Amino acid sequence: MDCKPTYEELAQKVSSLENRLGQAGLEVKDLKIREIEHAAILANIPLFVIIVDQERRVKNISKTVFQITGRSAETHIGLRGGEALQCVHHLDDPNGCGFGPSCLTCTVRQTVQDTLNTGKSHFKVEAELSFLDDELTKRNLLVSTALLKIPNKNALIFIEDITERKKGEKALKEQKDFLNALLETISNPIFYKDANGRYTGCNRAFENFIGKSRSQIIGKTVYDMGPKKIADKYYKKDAELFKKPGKQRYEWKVKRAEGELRDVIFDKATLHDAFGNVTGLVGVVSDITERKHAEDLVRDLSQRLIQAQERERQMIACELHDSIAQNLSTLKLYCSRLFKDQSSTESDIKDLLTDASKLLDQTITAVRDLAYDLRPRSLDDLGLVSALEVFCEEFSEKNDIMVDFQAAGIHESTLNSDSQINLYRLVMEGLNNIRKHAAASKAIIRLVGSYPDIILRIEDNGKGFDVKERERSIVNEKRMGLRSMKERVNLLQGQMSIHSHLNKGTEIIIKLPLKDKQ
Amino acid sequence: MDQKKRILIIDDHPLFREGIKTIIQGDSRYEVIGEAGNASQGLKLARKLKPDLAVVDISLPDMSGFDLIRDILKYSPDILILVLSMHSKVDYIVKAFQAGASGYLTKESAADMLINGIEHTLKGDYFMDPSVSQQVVKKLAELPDKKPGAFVKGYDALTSREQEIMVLVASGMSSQKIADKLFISPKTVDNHRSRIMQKLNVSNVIDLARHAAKLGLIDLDLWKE
Repeated sequence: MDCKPTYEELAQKVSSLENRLGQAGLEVKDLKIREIEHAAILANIPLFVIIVDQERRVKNISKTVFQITGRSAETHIGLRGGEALQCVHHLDDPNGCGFGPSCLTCTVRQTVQDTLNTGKSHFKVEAELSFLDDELTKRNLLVSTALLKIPNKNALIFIEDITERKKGEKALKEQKDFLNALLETISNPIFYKDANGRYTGCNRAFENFIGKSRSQIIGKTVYDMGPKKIADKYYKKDAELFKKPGKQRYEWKVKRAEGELRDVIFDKATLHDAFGNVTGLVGVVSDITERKHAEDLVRDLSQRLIQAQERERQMIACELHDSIAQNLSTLKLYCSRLFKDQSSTESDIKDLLTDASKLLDQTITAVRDLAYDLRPRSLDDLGLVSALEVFCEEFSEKNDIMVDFQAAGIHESTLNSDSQINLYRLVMEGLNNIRKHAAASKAIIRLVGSYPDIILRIEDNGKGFDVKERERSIVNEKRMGLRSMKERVNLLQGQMSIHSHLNKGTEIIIKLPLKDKQ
Repeated sequence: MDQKKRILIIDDHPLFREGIKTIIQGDSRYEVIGEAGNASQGLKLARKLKPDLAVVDISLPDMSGFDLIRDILKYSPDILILVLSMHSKVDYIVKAFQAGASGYLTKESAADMLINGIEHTLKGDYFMDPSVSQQVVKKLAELPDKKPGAFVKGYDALTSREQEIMVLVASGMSSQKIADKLFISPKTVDNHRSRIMQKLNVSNVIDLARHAAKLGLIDLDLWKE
């Protein structure tokens, strides 16, 4: 009986059992808490979490999946992974997910199967799955797997949906490609620099503009590009912009790679990071040399237009006053003499009338010549070719320069009146130049229709000149002649070339585009 | 006495019209039956009044006098036309006679010669102002060597397309190249080329180029003495 436990011993046992019970109760409570935690995680984790058995049938699944499938949790249990996720291919084979032809290459399936077979874990494997929502949508996924060793070697699968991110990346890449293409296509030179003034990039136009390749530009500052004196000026402009961030625009003169000086406009703006700090600048160069040149030309041209108009008026005034008004006054004198001198004999009157008639003839001729200079009527009445023939003939007679005029292939009905008057004036100016400067005895004029152009050649056998020398002095001298011919040709969008050698005559070839009659 | 000859005056200058009217009315053989200040009115009156003779100015506000003469004669070929013009250039005179006029008088000579001119014209003669006849004869005298060469006439007969092709052929371009440039087939180019050669009466490209140079179409020294 001694072996019967004493009361103390029993009490001890009871107390230890109580302890163990308490501990077990605590453990159960702990487990309960963990279970609640796990359920909460599964319900709220922004990932597809799926636990599958060896046959890849769903044992548990996170709530995120329901958002795509639109079904409740229980209905997923026991389905194969693909079916649970609504993969379009689980319908390919009557046996369901894993048996269709596409399943052989399905990355999701292979990854999961590998973990089930070998116990190996996988981390963020990229995969694509086609879902059957309202319509077929392809989703980009990242799949991670791990084997749960107990109790039944189930596999834990995490699937991250990165479709939106991929879309964003794709759009970003397209935008970047577009911007790149734009930068490379645009004819304006463009560059960008960091906050230290180092070039971080440029387009092809900029490479051409400064005559250096991108690799010679990127990472360099203006001080690596040219003499310090010029670099200082650029640096100062950049510094001004960095000091007062925003936009900057200024005109500048730039020496190009070939040494040519160009007028440009710089348009620059500062670049900023997310916090508004200046990280660099971008600049666009616009070459305005041609525009400036054109502006100068227009200014110069209108000035000379006014001068020419004044000269013309002066000529008309002079002619009217000196010749025509004088003659008419004289005639008036004759008339009053006829009225007053009653005593004069019949022969006196006859003489007077003869003089008056002569004077009248002169006046008529003067008026007609004047009118003809202003606008050759013959052009309207006879047409271009005959009018030029008449002009050349008269020019020959007046100036003792033989003019050989020949026209061919001119279909006058297709020439508009602007072209006609311009061709007429070009011949007139050309011959007047020859008369004034060439000391020639012969001139040749050829007018040839050569569709879609008209070719006019004006040649003389005079003393000629150095073409280059003349072209240089033409710009400075305000003389008309060749220059006004050239301007007329330019206005008509034609081309004019001059060939001349000292003592070997001059040849001017003009090619005008034929403007059809409207 | 014969019936008075009926005369129509077409001139846009009222005072001048008045002047010649006075001269004509001063002669009992003639009467002025109408006056017009522009071509369309003149044509209307000519058809309505059927004058024996019309005195016509060349420079009219609405139409060239040359065209007016043609129009009058188209409807009434019997009307005789005497041109009375400011112009004394030979080309004007030639054009007037080509249009069908029977007489030509400059306005300067009108005071002295008008009656004379009307008289001759009505008789059925051609009449020309003595002050311009000298010029006309001179021009006629030098005509033979001023006559344009046959190749100018040939070139005048080319169409725009043929002109376009001729200069390319003459500058030595192959049919294939011309075809590429003008977006037509080489066969079409060849067709054009043979038509051009036919019109210019040449048999090879060298002669064609020579013609082109003579015309001034392509570069070649024109000063060959």
